[in-house]
Amino acid sequence: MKLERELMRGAGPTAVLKLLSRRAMYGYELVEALGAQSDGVLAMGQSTLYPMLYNLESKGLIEADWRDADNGRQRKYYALTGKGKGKLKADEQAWNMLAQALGDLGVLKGAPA
Amino acid sequence: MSSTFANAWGWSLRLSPLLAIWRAARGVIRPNREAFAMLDRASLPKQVDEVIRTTVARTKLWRDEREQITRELISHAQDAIGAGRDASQIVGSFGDPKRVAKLMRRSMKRKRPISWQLYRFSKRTVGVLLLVLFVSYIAVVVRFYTSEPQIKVDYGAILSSRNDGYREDQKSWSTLVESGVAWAKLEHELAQQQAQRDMDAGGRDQDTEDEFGAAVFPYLEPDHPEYEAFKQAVRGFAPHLQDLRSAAERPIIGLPVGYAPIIEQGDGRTYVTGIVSAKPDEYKEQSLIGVQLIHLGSMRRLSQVLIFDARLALSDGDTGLACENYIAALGLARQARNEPFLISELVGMAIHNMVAVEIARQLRDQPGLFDSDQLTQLAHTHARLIQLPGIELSYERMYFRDTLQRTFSDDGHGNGRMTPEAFEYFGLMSAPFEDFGPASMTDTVLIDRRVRAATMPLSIVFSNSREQERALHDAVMDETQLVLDQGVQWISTLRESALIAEKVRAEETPMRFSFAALITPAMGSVVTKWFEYQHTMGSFSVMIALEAYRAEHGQLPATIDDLHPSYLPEIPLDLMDPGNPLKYIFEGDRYVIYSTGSDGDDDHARLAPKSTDPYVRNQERQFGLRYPQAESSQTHKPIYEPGGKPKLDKPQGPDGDWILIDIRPEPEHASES
Repeated sequence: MKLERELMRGAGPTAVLKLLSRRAMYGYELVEALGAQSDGVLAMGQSTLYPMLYNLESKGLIEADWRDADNGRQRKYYALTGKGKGKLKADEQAWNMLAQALGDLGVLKGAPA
Repeated sequence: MSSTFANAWGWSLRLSPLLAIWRAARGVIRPNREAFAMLDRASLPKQVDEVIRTTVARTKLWRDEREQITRELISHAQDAIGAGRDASQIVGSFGDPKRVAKLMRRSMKRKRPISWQLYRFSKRTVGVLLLVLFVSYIAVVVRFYTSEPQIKVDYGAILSSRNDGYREDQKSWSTLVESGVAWAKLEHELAQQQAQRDMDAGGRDQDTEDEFGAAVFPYLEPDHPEYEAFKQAVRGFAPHLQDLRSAAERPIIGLPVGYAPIIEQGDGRTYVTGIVSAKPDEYKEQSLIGVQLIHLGSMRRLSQVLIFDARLALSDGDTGLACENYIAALGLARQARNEPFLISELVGMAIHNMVAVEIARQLRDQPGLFDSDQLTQLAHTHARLIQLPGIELSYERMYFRDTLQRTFSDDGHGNGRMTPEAFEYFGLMSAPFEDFGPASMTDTVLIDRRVRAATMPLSIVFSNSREQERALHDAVMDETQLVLDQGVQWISTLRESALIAEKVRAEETPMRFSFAALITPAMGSVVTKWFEYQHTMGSFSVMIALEAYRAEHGQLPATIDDLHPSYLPEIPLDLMDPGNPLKYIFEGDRYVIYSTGSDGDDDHARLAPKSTDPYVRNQERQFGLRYPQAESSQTHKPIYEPGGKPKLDKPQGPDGDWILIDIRPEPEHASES
């Protein structure tokens, strides 16, 4: 199941920031990781990912640099900036509050109705 | 330290507007060159290669931005291939190139330098502003061209009411018009006869040319070649003059309100012989400005005929007829002055002045010509005319309100905006007479018709509202009326509204003009004319009364007070010396009537020298120098006394007096030192 566009627009950047908080990653790696680690819910193609990365970069939340890969090619790695870390922290709090609220309303499974 | 410097240098370089311009300029020529070269080198499967090419080309980004995207997409595709994806899977996961290009373009632009962001912001702002202006303009155009004036008040009926209560035999207008036409025909015949004589004589000799008789009438001298012809014409005009003398005794002119003259054709010329009275609803179509005053033009000319006839009578020794003619002409002046229009007042004043000057000329040249009774009668008739109520501007306000109701819309509360009709009116009011009509605007409005059609609606925004126009006009009229009513000592107060009107007029453009400002500049000269008239006519009253006194007593009076009340109902005041009469001194049988002049003190008839200061020279007879209003030294605003009277400053006029009438022998005249 895929998220609706509006939900994806809100969740996608947080998901990308979260992945990058663990380590620097390149584009294809991020596409694969988003699909695999969210059971396909947050899967996105490069048409969505790269514009999102450019937006995050323009806001100073992530930074990019080209590095040599093991196979001898070059890849563009994205890493979280200090500002990005702060943003991720704020987003996590917001999402937790949202989940809590939805749970309280019984929208989330296992939560009291 | 060097690292910090390098970072700062790199940062400033990245943000440099010049670099942004260079990057944008590079994209104009072969924008895909580096990107496509990279794709060529990457040797991706054809399907993938084409998708990336199409996407990159569609981004329409700068050259280096396309290069960055291409490099990243190639890397992504190679990673996908390395992970075992085939070309169709990669293309399938890529999405629609058009949409991807759009997203890429949008996000990459966010990374551009702040100088470019500012440029884009200002471009968009200007675009939005232009759009807002265009939409507003369209709204204004629609409102302007759909607005219509509502003519509610029949000012013609109000104007007509001035004649209520008078019988037809108490009105002079029909005699004035009939005699006016008869004289115009006679004068035309005289002109034709003169032209024929000139033609027979082989044309006029330019060097010795006499002025045409009509041009110097009624002051033709007996040696003028056309004197005899005019003399015969006036003699033949005697029945009309008799009618005219009778008509001049009537209380009013009484011309009915009408918009259409009755015209008669004759000898290739047109003569206005009457007027069609206004129909009840005609005011809706006809402006008050269009009311025909068919008698005014002929009144002045007929007065001149009376004067010429008086000259003929004097040459025959018939002083009684001459006096009758003078009194008839003064009667015409009275009738004109009793009409409520300013233009009629001015014509009346002009006729009065003309008759007074003529009487004075005869008295100077032929002392003892008239007997005491004749002179006393002339003095009293003349004095009664001066005592008529002063200029009253209520009808001028009415004319203006009528103009407003025909040119502005009406919001139901007396306010409104200009309508297209305003431009027709403005053209009529401001056009020179020889080019009368809506197409002939003043310089500011005389522009291409299409430009005018496009700019006219903006008058809604830039020109005064109906209320503002009325307020401006009222302000000027109030000030003018105040000065006319209060007297010459208030003359310096006539400036604030005039200055406002002047300012409005100076700011006129094809989109901004003002009826009030068009009309009001003339008011200053009306006031000056009125005081000049009072002053000059006062001096003529004294002169006639002096001659009447001399005729009875055989000598001149010791003081001017001796003339009251037998020869003068009131002693004329010296406007330059408040509360005191005009000055009079005599030497033997010769005398001088004078005013203290604009310096305000009596110099015993010593003529004020001509000033070398052009400003002062222009004001010498304009009274302003005598009564300058005091100004605050800090704000430069005029100061008023607690009761509203202007606080006056010291007189600023040149030393010396204004000589009004001087019949002293030539050698003893005060010189203009």
